[in-house]
Amino acid sequence: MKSIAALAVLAAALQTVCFAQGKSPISVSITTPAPVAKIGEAIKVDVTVKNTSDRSVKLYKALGPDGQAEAANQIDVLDGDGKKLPRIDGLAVEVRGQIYHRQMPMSRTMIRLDPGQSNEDFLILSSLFDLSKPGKYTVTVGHGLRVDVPGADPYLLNVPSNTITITVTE
Amino acid sequence: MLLLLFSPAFCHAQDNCVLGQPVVSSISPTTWIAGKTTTVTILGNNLCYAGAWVSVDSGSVEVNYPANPVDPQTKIKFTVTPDASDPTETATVEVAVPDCDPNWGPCFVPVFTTVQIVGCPTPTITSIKPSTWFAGKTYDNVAIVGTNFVTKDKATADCPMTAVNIIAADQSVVPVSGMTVVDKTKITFTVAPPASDPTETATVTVGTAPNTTNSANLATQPQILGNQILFKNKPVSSPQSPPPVAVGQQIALTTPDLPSGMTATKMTWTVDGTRIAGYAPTTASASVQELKDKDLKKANVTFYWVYPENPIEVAYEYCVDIPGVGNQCSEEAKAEFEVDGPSGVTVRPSDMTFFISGNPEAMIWSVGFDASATSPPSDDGEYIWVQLITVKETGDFDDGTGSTCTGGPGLDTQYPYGTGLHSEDGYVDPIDSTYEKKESTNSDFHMYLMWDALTDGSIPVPLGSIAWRASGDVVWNPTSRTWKKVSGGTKSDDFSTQSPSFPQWTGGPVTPATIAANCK
Repeated sequence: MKSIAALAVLAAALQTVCFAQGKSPISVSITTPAPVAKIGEAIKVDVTVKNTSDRSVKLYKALGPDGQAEAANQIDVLDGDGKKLPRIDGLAVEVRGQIYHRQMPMSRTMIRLDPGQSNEDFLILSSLFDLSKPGKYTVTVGHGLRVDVPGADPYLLNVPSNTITITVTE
Repeated sequence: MLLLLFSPAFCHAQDNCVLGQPVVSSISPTTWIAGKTTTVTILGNNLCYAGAWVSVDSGSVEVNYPANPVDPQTKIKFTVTPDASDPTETATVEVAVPDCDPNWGPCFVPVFTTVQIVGCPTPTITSIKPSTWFAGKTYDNVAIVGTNFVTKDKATADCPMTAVNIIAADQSVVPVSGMTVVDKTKITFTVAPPASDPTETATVTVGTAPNTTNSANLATQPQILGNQILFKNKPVSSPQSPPPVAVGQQIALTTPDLPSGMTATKMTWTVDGTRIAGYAPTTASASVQELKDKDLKKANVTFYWVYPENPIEVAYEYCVDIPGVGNQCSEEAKAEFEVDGPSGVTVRPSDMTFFISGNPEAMIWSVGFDASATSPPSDDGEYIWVQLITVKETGDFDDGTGSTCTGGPGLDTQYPYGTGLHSEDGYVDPIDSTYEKKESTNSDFHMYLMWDALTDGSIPVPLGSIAWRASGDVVWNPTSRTWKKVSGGTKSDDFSTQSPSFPQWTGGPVTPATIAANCK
């Protein structure tokens, strides 16, 4: 298994290299139309994934309408103290006296991006995280780009976005 | 008695004319034909200033006196036209010289003679029984009741036997045979409107030369009850042919209205092929409405063919209660449809993978579906994917507890799942190492490929389906701090095109929210 894992890592590395000399074939950027929001307001984050390579790439995307960008992206939100916030959507379960939110499975499809093409989607950050306390929150999104490795399982290459700051006020 | 005639044409002096007692030696001809104009010559003497009066027991005789006498002394000439409706009877001709004395002197005694009017009166129709005839059927002993019919033994050259002719409203001749003039008030015959006749009225004409007339005196004209199948308001039953149609196209068949006041006692459609009454998929639900017996017992029927086939036959028959005849049923109207649709449909699963992602943490299944098909000639349709799902997710937590969540069976997320000849499904099951130690998935999927003709009112029809499963167990290794795949993968059956069924669901789509609502 170790050898397979090693091969996978090697293949992934090679694949990554093949994408564009060590660079990801995509870029991920996020923006928000309202960097300052009041508590309780819906906070929207736009996620744009662009194919920056010279070949087509396939991306995971939530099946259904736009607005579910969390289905294909890892979202990291840090509060003013640099503490990572947990997700609050999904099924609330109590484990060891602490509440966790178990995410439910969902269907995704794949879309193809030709060189230079972009896919724009969005998510409602305030539905995924507890932003009920005033303060500054830094948000980063990582797109899980599938990388196929011959002879081994695929894996997801996390391609991070820029970081934005959202200020929540009373 | 009706006396009709004229006044003497002239009471003025005539040259070489001697007044005297008129004498009639002959009248020619002595037989006049009803309805015909005849020139009559009277020979005699002392016919100066003479006029002629004609009287008959019925009808009238139009008499035109000559402008000038042929021979004022011995011959007069005029024309007569006995009324066409006159029967055969005797007419009296009175020849008289008016009082010509300027002082109203002595009068002369009129001279009477007789002629025979040969009547050939206009026939009339009072009723026709039965007066409703199904196209394609033969009706013996249809009876026309009326007046002035001429039987065979009473027929003459001038007044032949009464004949019957029937012309449909579309100007086609309705065949009549076996006609018998029973007596002067009744005619019987056999009528057989061609099967292709539409529903229309007919005009019955009875006549004897030179008198002919039609049945305009009938309050209600005879009705021919045709039987046609109409598609888009055009006849498509034999001998016509319908245009090619597509599977899933709305087939709304109608029939011509029955004449006013007539009601069908029975209506029967026979629709071959696999057909349904409806299928209206939405994200909320989808179900097949079967074409029920009651749908096939109306004047019009609307349905959809599910599978392509050529030909597919449709037939329609109806019955009415015809007064005087009883319940009668039409001939079957039949139409043969060419139902086109995609052929040679195959679906090949591809990219069947199952792997674990560390960031974000998740179990991921992937499968692709590559379809190929030959589209029908009218390639305006669309291929549609629809997926049904049954989900079971079990999570074992590191404190010994856990939860099992289920979803479906139901629609996977949305309708349609996708369009085109290729579809991808990436099923992702998030895992969380902060509290989970094991996650198991056991989910079944059924992917349907459908086709929608995209015509007005069309519905998608199934082309085939493929069942596939995503199952597996992953465990968290706290030492290596990685998830490990213990078992599982993605498997699929072969794509099945054998009598493909429609995907059906209720209760809305299966989504993360609905799965979460079914956790224990």
